[in-house]
Amino acid sequence: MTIIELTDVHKTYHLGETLVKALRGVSLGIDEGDLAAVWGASGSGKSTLLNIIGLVDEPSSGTLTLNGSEVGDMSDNAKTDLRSRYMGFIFQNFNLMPILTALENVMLPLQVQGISALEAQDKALNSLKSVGMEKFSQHRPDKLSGGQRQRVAIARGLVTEPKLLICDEPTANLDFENAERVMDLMCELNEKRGITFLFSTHDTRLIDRVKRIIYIEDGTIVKDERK
Amino acid sequence: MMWLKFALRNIYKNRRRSAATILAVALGFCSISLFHGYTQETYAGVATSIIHGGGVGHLTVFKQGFSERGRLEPEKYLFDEQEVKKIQALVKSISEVLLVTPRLNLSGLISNGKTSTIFLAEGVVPDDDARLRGEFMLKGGGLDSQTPSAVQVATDLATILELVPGGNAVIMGNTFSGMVNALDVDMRNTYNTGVDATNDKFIRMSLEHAQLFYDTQGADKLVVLLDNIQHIPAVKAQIQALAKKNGLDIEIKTWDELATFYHQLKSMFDMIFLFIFTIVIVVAVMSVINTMSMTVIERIREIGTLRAIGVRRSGIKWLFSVEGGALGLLGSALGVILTISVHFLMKSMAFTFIPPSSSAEVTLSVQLDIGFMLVLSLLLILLALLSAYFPAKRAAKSPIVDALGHV
Repeated sequence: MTIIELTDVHKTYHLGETLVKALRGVSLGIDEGDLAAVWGASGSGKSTLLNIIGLVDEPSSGTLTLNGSEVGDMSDNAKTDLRSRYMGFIFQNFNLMPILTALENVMLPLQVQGISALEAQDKALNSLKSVGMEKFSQHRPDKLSGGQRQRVAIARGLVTEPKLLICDEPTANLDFENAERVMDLMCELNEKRGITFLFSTHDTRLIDRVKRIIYIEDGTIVKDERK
Repeated sequence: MMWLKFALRNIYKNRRRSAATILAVALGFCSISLFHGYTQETYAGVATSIIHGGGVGHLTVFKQGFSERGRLEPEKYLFDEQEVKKIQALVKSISEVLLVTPRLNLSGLISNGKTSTIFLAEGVVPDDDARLRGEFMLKGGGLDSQTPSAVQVATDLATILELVPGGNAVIMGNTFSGMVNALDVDMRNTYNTGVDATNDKFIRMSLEHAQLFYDTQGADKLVVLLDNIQHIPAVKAQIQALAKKNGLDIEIKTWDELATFYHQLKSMFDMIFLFIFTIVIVVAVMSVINTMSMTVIERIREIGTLRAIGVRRSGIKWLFSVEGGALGLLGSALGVILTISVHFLMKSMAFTFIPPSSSAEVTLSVQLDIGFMLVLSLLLILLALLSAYFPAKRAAKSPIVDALGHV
């Protein structure tokens, strides 16, 4: 079942007086259970594609449907609510709140949804457990290693049980060992819980682990390979 | 609660900057509330001083038209003996009234045999005067109903005439019928009028002696003392109603209507207060605006993350507004502590000073106005909240991808 579908999506930026065509007519569907990597060089349009799929950026033209509903004309609040309910985000720089503990960081998306602190705490602890970080629940991000921070970020992304987890270069700031552990975790969650992952990377080490590779060059999908 | 926790932790995280802002708000709060307390203390002190010390009472009853023509033709606006008794009886029937006493103003020349100068005097009923003045009674005692010729002389006038207690002088002037009259007066003691301009002219004497000077049995006014200053409007209305019912054509002035100095003083202090209030509030608010603008800029990426995980624009505005409001709250709380501390410090130090146009020393003191401090706290919290709201609104509007990419 297709969760998200893009049809002829273009994205153009103005960089000073220069017009940058980041995406040029991308059409793509993301299916439930996918473990897909968007692969391409720096500046190829990977992040722009993920941002548009994650509803944090808007296409210049083309359509985007989520569960069959066109999202182009939705209000900012409606898109925000869709992100909250259907998507999780994992960032290259982890983007954890420095003033919150690991547990509180994971509780945050639930509390944003209006779930009570007690219930959010239970769910957040389970989520931290699922990434092997329950022992570090009371640690602030600055007391964790890069790999541990990314695992907390994954727990935060998973805690709302999203349909799609969007990861922008999730292993870019990790050493090989931690990158492997994070990749193992994503594969395990995809296998066991059927969570859909879409991540951008230009790390060749990860390519063998995914079920689908979307190759992008100069804002165009040049190859969509399913294994 | 979640945003409050966020706000307080961020305030703690940036504790040096937050402390400077909280201190700016607290010092602003303290200076405004202390100055307000000082003005209120001054107003209350001046009011009490006028009502009791100045012997003006809460209300004064005149014959209709006295305020316009009374100085030119005092004899036409005089209550006769029967009218005085009638008004006294009517006004005394009001439960809030403590005292109704007749008065007679007079003027003329006073001489010690070698030197003569003009004088202004007020004839009072000695026992009533003692009751009206209460704690403001002069140290050497008041007038004595057993000695009608006794007078109290303003200190500068006593100096000019070289009068000492126990000495005597002669007062001269015209009676209401136009005859020249002169009376001996015995100096009981001196008193300070509190105002340089009058301290070399005033004397106080018994009503009996004043009536003898003008050859009358009347009085030009009746002073009314109430149990509480708050009852003035109600009692004034009652007296007017009673007078109308009994065919008395009178006018009633409240203490503050007779004390133009009070209004001038109040207007001046109100203007100074407004000036100081505006400057201090602007400084305090600018401090919060500066802090919150820096905070918002530093946390643009955090805003992007929060927006990405599902926080609405309104949530971002709320997050920073709560933080601004919390700075205002903490600043106000510290301001309350500082104000109370300074209040008690001033009380224990008992600083004194001589106000302009006054010849008496007064103690510097400030009132603790809890109601005002509450309103000021709410105002500062609201302003601090708004100081954070606008930068947060701008940040919340920025595209999420830009915010996430902010370094």
